[in-house]
Amino acid sequence: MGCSVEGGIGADKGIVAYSMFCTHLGCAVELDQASGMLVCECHQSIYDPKQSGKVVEGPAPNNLPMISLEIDKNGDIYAAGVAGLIYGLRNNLLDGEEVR
Amino acid sequence: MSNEKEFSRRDLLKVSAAAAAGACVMNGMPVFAAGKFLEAKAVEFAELPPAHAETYDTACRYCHVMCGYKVYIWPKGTGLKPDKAKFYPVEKMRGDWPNPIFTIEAKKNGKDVLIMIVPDNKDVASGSNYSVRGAFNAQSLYSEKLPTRIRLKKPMIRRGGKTSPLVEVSWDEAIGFCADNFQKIINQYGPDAIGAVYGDWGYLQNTHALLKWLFTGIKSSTLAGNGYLFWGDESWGLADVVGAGTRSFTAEDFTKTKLIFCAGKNLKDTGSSWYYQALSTGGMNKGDIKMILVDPRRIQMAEDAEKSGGLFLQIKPGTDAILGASLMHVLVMHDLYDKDFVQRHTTGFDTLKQTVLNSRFAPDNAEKITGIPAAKIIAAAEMLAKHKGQTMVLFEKGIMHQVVGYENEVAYSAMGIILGNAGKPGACTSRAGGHPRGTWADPPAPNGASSMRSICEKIDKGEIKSLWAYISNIYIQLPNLSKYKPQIDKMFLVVNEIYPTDTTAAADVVFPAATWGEWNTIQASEDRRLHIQQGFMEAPGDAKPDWWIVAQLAKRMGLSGYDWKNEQEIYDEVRAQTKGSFTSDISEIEWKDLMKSGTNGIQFPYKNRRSISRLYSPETEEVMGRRFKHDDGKAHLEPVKALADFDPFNHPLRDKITNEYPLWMIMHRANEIWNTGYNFYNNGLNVPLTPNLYERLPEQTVSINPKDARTIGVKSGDWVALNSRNGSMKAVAKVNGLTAPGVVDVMSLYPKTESTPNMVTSEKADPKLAEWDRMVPVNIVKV
Ligand code: SF4
Repeated sequence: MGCSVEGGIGADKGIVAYSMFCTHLGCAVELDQASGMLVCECHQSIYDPKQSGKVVEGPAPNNLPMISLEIDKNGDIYAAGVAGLIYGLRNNLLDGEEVR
Repeated sequence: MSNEKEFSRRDLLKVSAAAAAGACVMNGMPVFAAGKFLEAKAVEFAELPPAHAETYDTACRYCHVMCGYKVYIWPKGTGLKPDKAKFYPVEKMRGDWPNPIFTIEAKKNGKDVLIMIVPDNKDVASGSNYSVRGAFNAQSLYSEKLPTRIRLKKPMIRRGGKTSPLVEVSWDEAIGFCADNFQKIINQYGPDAIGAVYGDWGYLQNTHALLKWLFTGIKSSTLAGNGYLFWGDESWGLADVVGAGTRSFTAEDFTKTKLIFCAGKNLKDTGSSWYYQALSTGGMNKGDIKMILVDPRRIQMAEDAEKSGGLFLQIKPGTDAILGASLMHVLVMHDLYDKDFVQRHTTGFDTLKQTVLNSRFAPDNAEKITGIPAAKIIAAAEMLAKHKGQTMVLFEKGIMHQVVGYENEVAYSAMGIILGNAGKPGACTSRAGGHPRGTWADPPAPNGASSMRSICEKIDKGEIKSLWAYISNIYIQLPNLSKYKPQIDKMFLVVNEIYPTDTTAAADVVFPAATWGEWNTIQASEDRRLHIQQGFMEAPGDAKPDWWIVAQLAKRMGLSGYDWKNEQEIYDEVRAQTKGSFTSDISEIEWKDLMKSGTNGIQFPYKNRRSISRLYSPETEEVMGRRFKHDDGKAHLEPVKALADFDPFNHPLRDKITNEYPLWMIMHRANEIWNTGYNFYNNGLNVPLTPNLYERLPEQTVSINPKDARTIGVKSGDWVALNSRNGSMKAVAKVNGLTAPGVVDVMSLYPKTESTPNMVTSEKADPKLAEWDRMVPVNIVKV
């Protein structure tokens, strides 16, 4: 992020991670370099990565789930948990089968 | 307003700004302590609908799309546990993924139940999409576990007049008290001394009951709809051209069209599912559909229009009729219109030609008034010509809620028609739509149209002694509240409401109303799909449907014809009255058909068991006997002569820009706030009702161009007062490039009393449109 944010890790507390699935209909969100926001291309929900993934605009009903990160002494980063339910899942574990 | 309140509001902003930067998680979603990912406790649904869940069909009550939703109800603890980690495939974009906010806990028949309201994957009108407003359908249901616990539950009256307290009483006493007071006023001053302001979206049965009681029961002609000041036709300009103000397209046009011409309507924020269909399904984001957007504000849709290969025409507010005439000037001058369509389906083209070829409408001259470069006007005309017969020409309140609304509507309507945009797949000339439709039977006013004078004019003359606010928060919706609120406070004020509000606080009688989901309400989308929104839960306390309240009152006043046993009986009374209506015939649609129609409803006009999907189409001609609603079956272009001497800023009712009031204040609807924001923020108790939405827009804001901001000396985040000749309102400044210099923009109907734009609007209304100007000259000062 280039600045310290809540939930950020690393020397400047500026490293954050989010689910890439918009909470509206699950389209991929991407970082818009110009605004620094995470934007869903399908229906234009906008999330602020500096504010824990808060929705600032659009149809998304929830904030973007933020991934809790851990850094070890070698500097390797691990995903350690997730705050909020990722679109499409019934829980945040990755096994399971498709709903028809 | 006390300083105490003022400070708490300001502090709130500071706190929420700090919280925003600091909070890890919002929206009440669970937080998990760090641990290895696969070891972390799963975030999961508490319960999912079991096979034995009660199932209902409904449609969203907010905007004109009326997206279809499924409702599931089951006893708490009997639902399915999420087995393993079933997932909804993301590539299918399934709206029916049961987001946890779609489920709430409530009571039914005294038992704890879970209620889930989830977008229906089979809904045609929405393409199984939804907006953030509909996403909170479940969260705005009544539950003691939610902020909605403040719903009104008992009738209340002021037994001893204005100075006595509002006390809870029985229905019998409340109805009797209200009937006695109404009767006394009628006896002393005549029926017109009783007025009603009603929400014309407020469900077919309710609107019918009120209009019947007012017009044919007590015979008062003092009525205003929620969007206007009296019983007028806000679509008068469109109706003069095509014969009716009804919307004429069907939902699939949003994916079939080649070009969308959109003026005075933020379709993205106020008709979202249709916009998403054009954008994503129809491929506007890839240029498959182009868009010409006409708006004074550079909103997201402006970027989308440009990206689609279309155009953004940043217009000076109030000048749409000039732009429309100028586009027609180019189309006619260069023979770019649809000659065959004009010849076969219109009258009055010579009048149109003579009017629009006047050099005042040449693009160079139109540029001076509209602020749109002549080259862009010419490019827009060429694009419209290229896609003639394939364009959706859509306009709505941004151009209509003005004292020059008639001229604006005529200009765009005629422009759409001479290009043959009517009744074809992907082509229409239509209002875009606002809220769902809730009024069908249109009884005539008792003393003829001349008795219908502006409700404000009647208040000024002291002719109104009692006002009934019916599915309408008048202290947000009426214009010039700075002047009229103190006067209405003194009247015998009756209010039907679901929440305690600023208006109920001033009332002599408060009737608690049952609402969406609590009985079988009826509305129609603006592509004319009639829906029953099935009742699935009980109303809180003693709350009753509005139609029931009217019926009790009417009977207590000795009137007959109000013995409806249920909402179906009113529907049957109404549908019989629509027989033969060119645009609105629902007479053959039976209750049982609607109950079986799923979330799609039944499209009308409906004749010989056949729905007409597009008005003004060959199909319309086949079923209804003529193509357009006018008796001759043609579209009329003669009304364009109204543009001959038209000067938007010298209209006698239009307020003027001066040194003292140098800025035009315009307004827009926010994505998150529907209607009066009644499910967003409660201005009676000053609490957010859907906190997750509220945190996105915790205060009114005013967008100011950087150039104006420098002159005024304000920066983003400053609290400012906007002062007009009528009154004052407060907002937080947002300095940005949304508007051009000289124009500032606020949220319309923002539900905090001191920040609602109607504190500064004027009540001067167009004598036929019943509309007042939502463009107001203001000055801005830092406070
Ligand atoms: S787009 Fe309109 S109808 Fe659909 S969910 Fe949103 S507000 Fe409701």
